[in-house]
Amino acid sequence: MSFTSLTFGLFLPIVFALYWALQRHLWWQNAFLVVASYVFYGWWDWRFLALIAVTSAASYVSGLALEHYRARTRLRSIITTGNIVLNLGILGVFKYFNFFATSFTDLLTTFGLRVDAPTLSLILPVGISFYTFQALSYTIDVHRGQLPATRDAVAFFAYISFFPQLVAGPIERATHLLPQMLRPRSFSPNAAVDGLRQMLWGFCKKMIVADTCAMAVDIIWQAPGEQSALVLFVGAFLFMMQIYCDFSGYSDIAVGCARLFGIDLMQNFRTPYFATSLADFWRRWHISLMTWLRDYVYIPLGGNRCSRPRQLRNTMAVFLLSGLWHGAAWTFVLWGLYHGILVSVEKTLNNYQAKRGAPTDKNSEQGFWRILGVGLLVCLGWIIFRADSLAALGSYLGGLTHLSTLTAFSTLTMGKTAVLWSLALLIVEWLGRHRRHALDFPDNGLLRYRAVRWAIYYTLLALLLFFHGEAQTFIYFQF
Amino acid sequence: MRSFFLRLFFFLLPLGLIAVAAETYVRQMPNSYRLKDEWMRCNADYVETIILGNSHAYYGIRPQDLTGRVFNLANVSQIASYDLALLQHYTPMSRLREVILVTDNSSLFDPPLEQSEPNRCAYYTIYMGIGPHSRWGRYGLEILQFDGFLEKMKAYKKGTYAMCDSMGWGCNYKSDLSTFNEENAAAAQRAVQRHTCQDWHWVEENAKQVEQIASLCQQKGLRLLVVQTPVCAFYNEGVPAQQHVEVRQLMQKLKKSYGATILDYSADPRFGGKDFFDADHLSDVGAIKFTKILNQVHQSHK
Repeated sequence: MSFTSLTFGLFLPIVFALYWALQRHLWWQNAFLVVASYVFYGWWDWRFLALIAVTSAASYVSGLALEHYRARTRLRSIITTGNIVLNLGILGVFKYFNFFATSFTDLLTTFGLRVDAPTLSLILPVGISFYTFQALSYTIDVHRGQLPATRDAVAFFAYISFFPQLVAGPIERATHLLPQMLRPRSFSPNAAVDGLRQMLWGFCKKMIVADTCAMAVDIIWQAPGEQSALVLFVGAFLFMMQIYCDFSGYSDIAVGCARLFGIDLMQNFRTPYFATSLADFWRRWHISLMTWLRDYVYIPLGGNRCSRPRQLRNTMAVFLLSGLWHGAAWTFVLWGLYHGILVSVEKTLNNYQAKRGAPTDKNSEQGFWRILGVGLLVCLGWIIFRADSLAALGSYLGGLTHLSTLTAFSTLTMGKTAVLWSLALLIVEWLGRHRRHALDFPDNGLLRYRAVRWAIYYTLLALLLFFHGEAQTFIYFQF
Repeated sequence: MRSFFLRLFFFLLPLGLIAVAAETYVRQMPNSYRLKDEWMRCNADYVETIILGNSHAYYGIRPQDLTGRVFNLANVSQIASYDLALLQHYTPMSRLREVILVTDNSSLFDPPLEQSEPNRCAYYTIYMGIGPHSRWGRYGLEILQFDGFLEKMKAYKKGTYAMCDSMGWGCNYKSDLSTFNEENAAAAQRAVQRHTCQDWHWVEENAKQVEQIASLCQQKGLRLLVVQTPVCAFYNEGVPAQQHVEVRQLMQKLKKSYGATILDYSADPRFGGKDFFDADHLSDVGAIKFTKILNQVHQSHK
């Protein structure tokens, strides 16, 4: 069930009403949340339910076992390792088996060996990458003693399957979301209203900007060799906006929806395209995944507390895993590698400048150029991300280098509307960059008047109705 | 909680009122679906020949030029499943003797209406009470298919909304309003692109529905004329060869297994110039001319 479907429009009020009707009975409220979440998830394909149930059950039992064998360190390690292998194994089979099998076959072919590698005909369950990492977070945190294992199976299943964030994040931490499932929630009208506002903003980003950009991007990417450099550049910019608005729009809808149920989810984006460095960009983009990789991969590998070469190795490991997490394709790996190299180089340069005692204060003019520079580098990365294959990537990048066509404005026949919406969004996001979301209005000025705020909401609803693009699936559903 | 619901109620109230007003307004607008349903409810027992199919039939066959009591039950983008549903819906049609079904390079390859034009699913559900969707579902309100609703309002305002005359014939493809030039290959190419099959699974499903229509006619002793209306040469040549093959194969099967009469006028040299409103639709002039030619076959078996 997609957030942008009419079915969800019916589902949400019913679930909301019944959920709060059970407010005084926490166990029943959580049980209802599990049922509703499973209905939500099963709407795509009921066969996916078994998998999420197995993942949830395995992690729940692992947590109890870790608690039970508190004193037995070796056994605890085995249990945790077993749970990690199981969860990553399931993820690996569904997501990566065919990729590695065909890559292995291709490698052997280059050496003149013909091997028919077996491939599996498996549908990738929606959201598997997200809930698997969420389940792993619980097991690892219990192992580390950061969180006591819970005996409340219903609350645990609700933590894994909580429908607003189930299929495309944010990837919640057990230390953040599970306690909320274990304690009674109280209804807050202000939180609910703010949640609805954030959902509205998310819908606008997704349905107006992302879907409009998608239409132009698809056309440009169909035949990049036939486009001028200017069109290709615009296409890259539009994809940059499409993926941001699509994913952050989903996150806004998820976070806003969760607030209707008295649950706070973590912020997943913080105006990433206003980052002043690549490291800053990765502190603002898909925050839940990057902090997960930091806490469960980077720091255990040694983090910053080791020699420079190891730090760089750890950085590359995180970004390669990030690329691979997104999908089973060499372009994703290359994208991860690209960012890993850039962040490593940036770190090295920063360390060098710090040693030389170079000034670190940055004025606003420098800030503007930094934002632009980071934006260009990130945009180039998105070209790698978007390409279906290395050949398509080569074709796109090759077209960009035909500088003689860069000034061919007459060839820019498509995507103008999408460009305008994108620029408008960037302006609005800049103005709201210190707030949680663009509709998180301050309590001063004209915006403190309800009539003004309602006029803005009605205007956005009208824009949604009249200017939405052709409906597209959320991009991150495929990851 | 109460304050939240009150705020939400007052916020949604104007939207709800606008939605109700818009739905009420759009339902008052005359449309071919309601007109055809009303006519059939009153005259189902008197009609002798019905015409089914998509816009090629809707604009291309004028009942007044066919002998006997004829009604055009075709509609724009009407696919075979809805043709079948219409044939089964208006019972008993005790005097029905003949069904003229237009099946060609467009209708056989059309996607499900839910994908291509969901607003039309709403029209069948609301105004005719046919189709697989419930009145209480998403196709029970025109406003829920907002894009189609908007297009309808724009077309109505411009005067280009597809209306029909009292016998169901689509009468607004006037030859003097057409800017189509038969020599213009680009215009024909756009029509070909629209009708080029995107998913061959649709063909199987559509063909199955057409066969069910043929089977039903055979069971009821109805004569079935399967017709391909005239189209301009550029369009006919532009349609992928595989689609022509599929249509021919289906026609052969309908003739052999169900005794249907197959009439292919798609490349008829008697049609040209002002006979066409666009690459694949006849104008009013062309429709009258075509229907008179068709009447010769229609009459021959009376």
